[in-house]
Amino acid sequence: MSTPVLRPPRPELPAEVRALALLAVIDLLLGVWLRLQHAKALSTFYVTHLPVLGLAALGWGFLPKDRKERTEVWVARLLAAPGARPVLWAIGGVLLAFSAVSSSVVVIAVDPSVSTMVSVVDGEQARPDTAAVTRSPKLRLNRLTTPARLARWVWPTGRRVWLYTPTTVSFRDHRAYPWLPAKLQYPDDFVPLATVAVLPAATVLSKLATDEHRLVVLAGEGSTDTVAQSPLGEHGSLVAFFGPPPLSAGTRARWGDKLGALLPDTETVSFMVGRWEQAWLPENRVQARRPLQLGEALTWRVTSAAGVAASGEMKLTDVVTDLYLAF
Amino acid sequence: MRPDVALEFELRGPDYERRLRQHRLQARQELQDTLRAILQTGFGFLTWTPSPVRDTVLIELFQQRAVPQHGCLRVSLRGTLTLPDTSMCPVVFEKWIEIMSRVDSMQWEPDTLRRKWGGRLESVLRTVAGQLVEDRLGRLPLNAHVELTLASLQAHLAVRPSDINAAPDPRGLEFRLRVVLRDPQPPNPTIDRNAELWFGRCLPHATEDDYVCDITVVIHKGDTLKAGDQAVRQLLLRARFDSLRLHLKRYQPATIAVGRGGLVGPAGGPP
Repeated sequence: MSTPVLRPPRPELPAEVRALALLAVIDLLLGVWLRLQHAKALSTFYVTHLPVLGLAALGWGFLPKDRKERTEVWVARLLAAPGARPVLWAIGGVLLAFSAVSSSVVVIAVDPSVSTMVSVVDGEQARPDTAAVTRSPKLRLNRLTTPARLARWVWPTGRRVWLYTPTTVSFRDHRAYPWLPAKLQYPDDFVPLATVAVLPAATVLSKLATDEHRLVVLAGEGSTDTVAQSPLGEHGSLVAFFGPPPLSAGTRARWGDKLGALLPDTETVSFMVGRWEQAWLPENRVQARRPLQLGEALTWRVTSAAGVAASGEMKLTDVVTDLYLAF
Repeated sequence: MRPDVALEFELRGPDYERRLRQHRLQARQELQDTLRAILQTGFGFLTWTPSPVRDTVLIELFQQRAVPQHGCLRVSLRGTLTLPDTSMCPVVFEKWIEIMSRVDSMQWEPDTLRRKWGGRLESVLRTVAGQLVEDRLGRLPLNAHVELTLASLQAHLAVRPSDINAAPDPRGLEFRLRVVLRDPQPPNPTIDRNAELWFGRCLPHATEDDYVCDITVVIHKGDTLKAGDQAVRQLLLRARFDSLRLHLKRYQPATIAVGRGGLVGPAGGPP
């Protein structure tokens, strides 16, 4: 018969200390989450801690000894109460669950002179959802609001977003994860939006007037990714995703110079410039499937019932890049 | 008297062809009929027949090849006398921007074009009428007898204003007589097959209501000579003239058809 071994009882933390430790962990994690997700709120969080703790410490010193002892006993009893720790676990669990589905998009203005509105769109920039673009929330970004933050619900696997301003678009997609927000710097992480101005030559205008010609813009050489396609009218057309920038005097002058070298009289030049300017009419816009970025390389072709009338490659070197059609 | 001439109208050019498409033949025919009426009024010294005859006046409305492709008008002659016009764009009929500005398909309906272009064609032809008579249409000879009185440097033309639908006032008229001029002067008798006598300062004949004109200029061996010069008078007096063909050199149409002495009847035509 074996004799049972008597082991000394394992030392246990007092119940009130366990609850206090749990409270400290919750506070610590809340601080870390705020530091990652909401830097502005973090300072508020700690600034409100300091006077509370300071006043509490000051008041504690003035309390008579027996009151202190009674308070300590009351707090200890409260923390040691059977329901205290489950409540703290529940609070911690709720906060943890919240942090698992909540994140943010943060935009920091690098240039203090920046003042713009940043729209945050869910999804991929390469395959934008027009409904998502339409309802995209906006952030006001300037030296007073920076860093501008937008809270987003996320899956635990994260949420893909891309951003744009009236003149720029984020260089790539970003993903906001739980605890880890999507952080961008403006304008460093943005690239200017580009617009293609399709400018038919004089001989092409009449062809466009009578026979249907279709413009197809592809992502690059050998690509099958169609960026835009639409019939062309007997006027200039703009390929753009967002509204184009205003027609500038510089653009007009550039067109005038080009036409002046090709056409013999100023009357015809003025007429042609007028036709090209019609590209800025909303009905003459060729909707691009996605935003066009400055520096991007595209291929294009114009087709008619007879086949391919013209084709070529182009690089978006200017905010308004000209595509001169002559065939 | 008046030579018969047919009219052919051509309408060519990328914009005209594309815009008119299946209406092109109809537009061409309607404009040809309109043009014939215009020419009948403005160039009534020719009989503009709708049926084909030996001589044809070809009027082309075409777009020039060079950009901008303006619509140009060209008049040339085919038949016994072929006088092509090789200019790139003899007359700008309408500018390319006008063509391109007609964006509405209604503006390209043959009837709309006929109304719009009819007035302009009349205006353009009136503007170039002098040159047309001189270089093209006046080259078709009138079938009329000419009697030369070389001593007084005059010519009696058996042509009445009503024969050629000319204005009653003859000051707007000049004629050209193409002749074969034989100069028998020894020691080198010559033949000039391209000689011309120009008749101006025409007046109605005292009794016959046709024209009596002064011989003003002689074209001989390529030289333009004043008929009043002594040497020229002597040449005319000794020369023999064959193969006389009378042409109009300058022409002023009657605004309405007139009768003898420029009389107009109650119905607006000759009495």
